[in-house]
Amino acid sequence: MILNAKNLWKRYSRRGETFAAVQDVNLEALPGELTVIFGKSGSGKSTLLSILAGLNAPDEGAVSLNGKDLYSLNDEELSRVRNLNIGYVPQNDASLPNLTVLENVILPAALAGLEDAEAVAQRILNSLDIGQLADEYPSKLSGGELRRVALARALVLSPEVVIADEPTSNLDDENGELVFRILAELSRNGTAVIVSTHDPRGTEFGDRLYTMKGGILSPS
Amino acid sequence: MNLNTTKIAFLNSWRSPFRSIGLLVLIAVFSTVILAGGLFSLSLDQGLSVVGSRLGADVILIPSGSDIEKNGLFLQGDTKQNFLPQDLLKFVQSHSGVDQATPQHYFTTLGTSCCEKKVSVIGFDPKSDFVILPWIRQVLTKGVPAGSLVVGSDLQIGSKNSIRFFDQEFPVAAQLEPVGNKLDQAVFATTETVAQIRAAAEKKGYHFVSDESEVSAILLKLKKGADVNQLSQDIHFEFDGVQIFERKDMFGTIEKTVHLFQRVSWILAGFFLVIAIVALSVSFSVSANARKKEFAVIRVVGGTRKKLRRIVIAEAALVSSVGALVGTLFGSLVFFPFRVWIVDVFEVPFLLPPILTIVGVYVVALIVPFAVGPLAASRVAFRVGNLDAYQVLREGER
Repeated sequence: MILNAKNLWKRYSRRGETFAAVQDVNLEALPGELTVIFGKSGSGKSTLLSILAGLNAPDEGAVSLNGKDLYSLNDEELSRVRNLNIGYVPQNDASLPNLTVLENVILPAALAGLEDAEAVAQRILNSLDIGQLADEYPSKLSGGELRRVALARALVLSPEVVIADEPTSNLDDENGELVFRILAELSRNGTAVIVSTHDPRGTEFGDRLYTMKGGILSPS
Repeated sequence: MNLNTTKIAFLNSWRSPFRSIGLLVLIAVFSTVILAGGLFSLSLDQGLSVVGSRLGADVILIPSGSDIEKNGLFLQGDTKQNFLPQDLLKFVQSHSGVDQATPQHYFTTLGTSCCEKKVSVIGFDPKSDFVILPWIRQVLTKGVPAGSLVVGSDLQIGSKNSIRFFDQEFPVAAQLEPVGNKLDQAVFATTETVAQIRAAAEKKGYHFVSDESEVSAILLKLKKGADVNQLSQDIHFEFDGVQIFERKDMFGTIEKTVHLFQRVSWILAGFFLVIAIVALSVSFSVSANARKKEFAVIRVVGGTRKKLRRIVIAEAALVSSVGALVGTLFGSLVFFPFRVWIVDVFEVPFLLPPILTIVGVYVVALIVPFAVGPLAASRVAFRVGNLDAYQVLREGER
C-alpha cells in the first residue's frame, strides 16, 4: 500500500450554507494500479484529488503515504513529498509562461536540487510526442500539448504516486487515448496512479473504478 | 540546467521586458536623484564651508554703486573696478570697534598680447592681511616671496611656473587649494608685486585709471561685542559712497540659494523614494496577482512557501540592483561633467566633498534603491507564500 485515505471530510461554505465536497471518503492506491474516479463536475473529484496530493488539508480524516500522515508534516516536509513522491497533474493547463517547455518539465527536478534532469525530461516529452516542442514557450502550445507538458512535469522525478485531475478533458480522441495509455503503462511499471475523469475510456484502462457523487465515493 | 531561484527570477524578469524595464527605470531615477542630489548638496555645503572659512572678515566696505557685488566679491571673485574714498582705511583702522582692517585692490589684466591671460588680480597688503594670507599659508608657510604670485587652483600655469604680464614674467610661488568658485581662477599678489605689475604696464604704455593708494575694498575684523550699526553710522557720517556689508549679508543670499538647492534635492529624493515604493508595491502586487497560477504550479511541484517568497524577493532584488547600478552610472554622467557648468550658471560655491564622503554617497545611492525593491515586494512575497495553490488552480475552472 502506498497511499491511504481514511474518513476524509472537506466542507465549504457557499452563500452562507455549508456543504461537504468530500464526505467520509476512504481510498487506497496501490503500486501497479490505475484507480479511476468517475463523476460529474462538482461531484468533489478535484477536491478529493487535491487532498490526496497534499495540496488541500481535509477537515477530518487523514492521508498517509507509505504510512506517513501527510498533513502532520510541516511545509518543508510536505513540499518535499509533493516534489519527490507525488506527481500531480492539475485540471487546468498550468505552466510557467516565462520558462520553455523543457524548463517547465524539469522544474520539479530543479526544486529537488537535481541539475541533470534534461535527458529524462526530453525522453518523457518524446514519449508524449511533444519532444520537438522542448524549446517552445507555453503560449505557443495547444491545449492538448499543454496537458501533455503538465503530465511530463508530473513524471519527471518518477514519483511513486501520480494523481491526474481530468487528464483527458479538452483533448481529442487520439490524444485522450495516448494519455490513458501512458498512465496505464506507468501503473504497469509500479506507479500508483489515480485519475479523475468523465471519459468512458477510463473503464477500459482502470484497475479500480470508483464513482463520486455529492462528495461520496463509491466503487463502480 | 541549473534552474535555481535566481535563475527562475532572472528568466521571469528577462522574459517580461516591459514590466522589468519599467521598474528598472523607476529605481534608476531614484538612484540618480540620490547620487546627483547628494553630491550636489554636499558640494554646496563644502563650497560654502570653505569659502566661509576663507573669508575671515566680519564686515566688508565697498564703493557705493560699485559693480563689485557683495556675493560676487568673496564667493565668485568678481573684481570689477571701483574705489573707496581716500582716508577711509585710516578711519576704520582707528575706529574703536575695529580689531583689524586690511585693504584689497582688484583689477583684471587684459587678455591681449601684452598678457598671457585675462585674469582677476587680487592685491592684498601682507602687513595687515588676515583674509588671504591664512589661506596662502596652507601651501606656502614662509609667506609670498617678493615679486611672486599665488594662483587659484583652476589657473593653468604650465611647466615654466610663471605668468607673463605686460611682457614681464612673474613667478608663481604656489597654487592654492580649491574653494569651488571663481577665486579658483584668480591671481593673488602683494601690494609690492601689484606695484611691479603696474610698473610693467606703465612701461608698455598702459595706464591705470587709479593710483596705487586707492583700494577696491576694505575688510574688517571687529572687536568682540562691537556694534556694527554704530560703525556703520560713523562711517556714513564721515564718508559718502561707502557700502557696508556684514558677513551674514554677504552669505545671506548665497546661503538661501544653497539651502533652497539642498531642500529641492532632499524633497526630490523623498518624493522618488515614496513614488518608487508605492509604484513598486503596486506593480509587484498586480504582477503577483496575474501570476498566481505560476506560483501555484511551483507549489504543486514541491516549492515551499519560503521558495515562493524567495522568488518574488529575488526578482525585486534583481531589478532594483540593475536599476541602482544604471542610476548611479547615469547620476555620475550627469553630475561630474555638469558641475563646472553649475558653478558658472548658479554662481554658488561648489566644491566636491572629501573622497570618503563621495564613496559614502555612492554606497547610499546603490544600497537604498537596491533595498527599495525587496522592501516594496516584501508584502507581496508574504501574500504569495501564503497562497492556496489548490484554490488558485480551481479559479481557472470557473
